[in-house]
Amino acid sequence: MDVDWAQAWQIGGIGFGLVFAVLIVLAIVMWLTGLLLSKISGGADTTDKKQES
Amino acid sequence: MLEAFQTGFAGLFVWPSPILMIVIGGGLLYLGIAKKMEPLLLVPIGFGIILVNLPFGGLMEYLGGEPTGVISRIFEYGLVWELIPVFIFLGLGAMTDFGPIIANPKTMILGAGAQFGVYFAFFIALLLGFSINEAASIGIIGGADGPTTIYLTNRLAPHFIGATAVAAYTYMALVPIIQPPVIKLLTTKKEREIYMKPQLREVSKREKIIFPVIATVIIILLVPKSAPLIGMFMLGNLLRESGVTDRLADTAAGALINVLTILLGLSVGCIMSAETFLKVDSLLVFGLGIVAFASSTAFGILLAKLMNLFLKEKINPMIGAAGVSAVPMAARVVQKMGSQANPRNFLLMHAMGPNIAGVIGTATAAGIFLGLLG
Repeated sequence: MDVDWAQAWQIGGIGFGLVFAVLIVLAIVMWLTGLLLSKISGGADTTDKKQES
Repeated sequence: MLEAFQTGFAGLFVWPSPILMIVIGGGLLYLGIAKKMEPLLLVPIGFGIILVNLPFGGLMEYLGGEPTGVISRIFEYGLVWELIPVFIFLGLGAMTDFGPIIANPKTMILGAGAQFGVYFAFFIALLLGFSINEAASIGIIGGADGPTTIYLTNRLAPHFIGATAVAAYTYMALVPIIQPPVIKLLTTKKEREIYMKPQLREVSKREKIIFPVIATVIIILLVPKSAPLIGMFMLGNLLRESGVTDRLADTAAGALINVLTILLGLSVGCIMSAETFLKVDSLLVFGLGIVAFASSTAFGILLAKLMNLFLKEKINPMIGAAGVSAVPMAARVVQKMGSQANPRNFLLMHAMGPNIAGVIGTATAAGIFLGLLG
């Protein structure tokens, strides 16, 4: 079967790049959210452990 | 009237051989029951293979394109209509604790690294003469995620659904056998001994509730076609973390996923009749699955080694191997090998980060394939 290699490289490149980008963006957003939440709660954040106790 | 009655014996001795498939089904039962490898899946799949290859049972019959057999109806309305894989993701979400990746977000990158194997196998499949759609379905096996593999194959190359599903689940079951040699090949003893502090930071309840909502918005905005899988996965997790929907979370993570697993396993097994599975192409798909799986493991490790060049506090490169999404088997393999190399090491929680990121990564990769090809 004839393969359109230009399309294949496009799919490979865009695909892998986008998976990487999605997870990096997610990692950064979660890191920032963590920072923001800890600032907002001013150290009095209700962690799982604290809630349990 | 007696002429119309037919026993199954005559149908056994034909080619492609149902007997060979019955032996394969028996092999999967053996792995599931005696070796306890992914028994929840391999037992129904193995039994389904035996069932469908006993001649004249009619379980997978179609009449005029409409399913008329008991299992063909489940297959058609459960798998072809894509309900089972999507709702399994709901259950998986309800079973998943995102704490490790929220506590250590950089491990998400390792989940992405392991997806390189998906694209590596995609290109190998193209070189072997498969079409682009078929190659994408073969490549996604490297993500080691059964429901995602089924979901994508059903859309892009439905004729390979049996081969890709069985390959994905079999290799997931064989994680403890496939991964250790790849890990040993790509890491030195010194690297395997790298110590990681067992304690991750505590993650607040609020962060755990916010994560599935933010992740849904970001991922689906970037990759819209990942919406069914990611949406259900994150909804399941929100049910678990919200603290106000315990009944729903319990059902999703218990009764619902159990019922769906039986239906999924049985229907995947039942599409593996001798005439559909014993073909060169299907066997090649099965063989390429292991290339996809091993290369995903390899690229996860290599990315972890690359990250170590820049990190002040080194990570144990073995946790990169957990970037394939076989949760939690891949993380357990890393934990076991880590404690063998250095008895002080307890890598399980560190490996769970890339492991969960692998699930997100594979579902995203599937969404991208669908967006570009579907």
